[in-house]
Amino acid sequence: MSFWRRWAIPTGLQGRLVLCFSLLLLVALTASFWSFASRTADTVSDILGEQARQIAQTLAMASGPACEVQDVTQLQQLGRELLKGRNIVLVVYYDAAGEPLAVASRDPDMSLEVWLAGPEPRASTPQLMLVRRRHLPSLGEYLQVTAPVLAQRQSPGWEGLIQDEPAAVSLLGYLTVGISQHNEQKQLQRVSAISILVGCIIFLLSLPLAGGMVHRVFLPIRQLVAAANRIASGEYDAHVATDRPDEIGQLARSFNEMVRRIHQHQQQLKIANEQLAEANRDLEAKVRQRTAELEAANHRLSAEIAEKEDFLRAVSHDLNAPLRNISGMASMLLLKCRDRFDDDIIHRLERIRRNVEVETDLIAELLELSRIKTRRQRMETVAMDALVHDVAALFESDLRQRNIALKIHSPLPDLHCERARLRQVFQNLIDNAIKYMGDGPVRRIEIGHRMRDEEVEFYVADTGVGIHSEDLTRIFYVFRRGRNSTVAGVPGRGVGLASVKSIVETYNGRIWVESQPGQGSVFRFTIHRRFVPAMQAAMGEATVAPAAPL
Amino acid sequence: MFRQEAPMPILLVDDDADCRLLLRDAISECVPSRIFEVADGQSALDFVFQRGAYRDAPRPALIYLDIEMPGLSGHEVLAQIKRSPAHRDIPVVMMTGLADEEHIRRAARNGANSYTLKPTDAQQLMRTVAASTNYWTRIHQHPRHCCEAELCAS
Repeated sequence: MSFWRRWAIPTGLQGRLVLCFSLLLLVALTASFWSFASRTADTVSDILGEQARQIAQTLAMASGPACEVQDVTQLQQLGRELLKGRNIVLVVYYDAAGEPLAVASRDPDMSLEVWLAGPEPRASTPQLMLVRRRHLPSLGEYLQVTAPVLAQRQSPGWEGLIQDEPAAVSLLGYLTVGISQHNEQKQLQRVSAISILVGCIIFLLSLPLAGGMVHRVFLPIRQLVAAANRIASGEYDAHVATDRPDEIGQLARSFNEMVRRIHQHQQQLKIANEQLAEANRDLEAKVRQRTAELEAANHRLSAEIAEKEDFLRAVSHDLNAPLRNISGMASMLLLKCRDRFDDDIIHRLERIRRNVEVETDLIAELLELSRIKTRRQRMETVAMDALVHDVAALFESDLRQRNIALKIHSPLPDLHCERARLRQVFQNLIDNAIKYMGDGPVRRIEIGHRMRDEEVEFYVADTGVGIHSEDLTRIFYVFRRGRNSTVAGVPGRGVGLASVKSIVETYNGRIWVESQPGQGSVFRFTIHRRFVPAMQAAMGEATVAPAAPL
Repeated sequence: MFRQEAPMPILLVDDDADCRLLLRDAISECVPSRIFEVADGQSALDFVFQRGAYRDAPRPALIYLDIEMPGLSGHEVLAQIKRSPAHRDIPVVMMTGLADEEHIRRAARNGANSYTLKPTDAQQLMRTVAASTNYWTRIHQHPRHCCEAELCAS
């Protein structure tokens, strides 16, 4: 089975070429031998026909006298004599009317009666000298020619020739001769057999020749295939012979060039890769170095921050302790010895105590201010609306006492922030707005917000005394209170707005105030959008982190 | 153990003499007591564990302990007292000038019984002191009650 599968349908180009070549050869050989054989057969039968005609004519001339007398016996005798000729198988004599007179045949059963029952019993003028191929079971195949038997007179002499008169002839009868082709056909068959044999031999001989030729043509292609396979497995030194001048040679040259280029590219790629790896290593080393530097700096900074914290705590503790004692002593004196002191002493003791209280509060606020940036609290999502309402509720009695209307433009957005810090912001701003409301007829505080591209802006607007233009920026710095603050007689230590500014800045925001004396003030501050969940979702940003505490 | 009217020994631990003076004033105003003062953590431990110069010191019924002190801090003193099985029953009121969450957490972890800010106002100080002193001394006089309270607390 495998043999047939292998040979019946050749899959390779080479096998198919061999097959096509063989088939072509076979067809060509067959065609040429067929034409040769048929030509030969035609020629042989032409020659035989001519021969038959001549034989018939000769015999007709020879039989003239016997026919003239219509001597059947003699004619039969003559016929039998004629049958001794090599090829003659049948002789039939007819009279001038075409009636058969005598039949002689190699077939012993053939007689006048049999002939008369045959397919062509009578002779006629139109049949004369036509060579026909006939077949009788007893005689096999033969050529049949009918010739006229003519009576020949004496030559008319020179006069006749000169007068150019046709020789006077008279038809005595007809003679039909059957000439066998048996020998010639045998010869012909032999020739055919020999030529077929020769054809087969040529064909068989040509097969390996064709195979060899195709093999030779395909050899460089197979070499190319082998080289390509080697290159595919990474051996770039593979080369094929390029000395052929033909297309295969060109292919081989192109192939070698291609291999050279690929190899070159590979080398370049390799070098580039190595350079890249080198650069990468450099980069990594640099990154490591930078990271180490940053870590060191970070470490230093945290150490400094911790130091600052410790310092602040120590300072505030050490500042606080004597103050507390002063206050404690003064109040203890007031408590224990009030009845022993006159009013003036009591008043002064009160003043001591009040002053110490102010100082203590100030220290506490300063401490808190320093902590805003160094100590981050828990980040959470805080509903500003609720937070601002809460803060406003704290000031409810103040607002009522001073007859101030507070309007919150809900809804305020949620923020991702430290709750206490944002609370501190609003507390300070509302507190300020109440403190600096003054005595104007319109007494209103409004709180609201608006969304901007990168941030959300909150505002706290009041109808209070307003701020002098020179103070618009000063007021956000610690201990720098506006000049109005003293005019208004408002208690305060100049830390509140500084704290607010600090807090807003930890949310990548800004704070500023728009105001004129007597026109009220609008405090505005912004919070970066990454702390606003609603904006953040819209922008698809992932990180929520406060600014680094520095 | 103590009669109702017997003056209770109360230990004040603070490096600030003025502060001790104020506290002494405040305490003596509200309960009959014998007040002992020490100025640093080591002395406080010696007093409580009756060592060295304080061999004959009485067992305090209540300790007021300042947190910020040079040397041993109030936290360390508190931890040592609460680690000793014989002394962990003595109620300790921690005092500090600062309302620092970290201090409060640490004091609670070490088993402080109260935590109080040093007030600047004498009246407020006396109220605070009176409240804690009365509470802890009363519990101290009724040990059974005390145990139940501790159980409840734990």
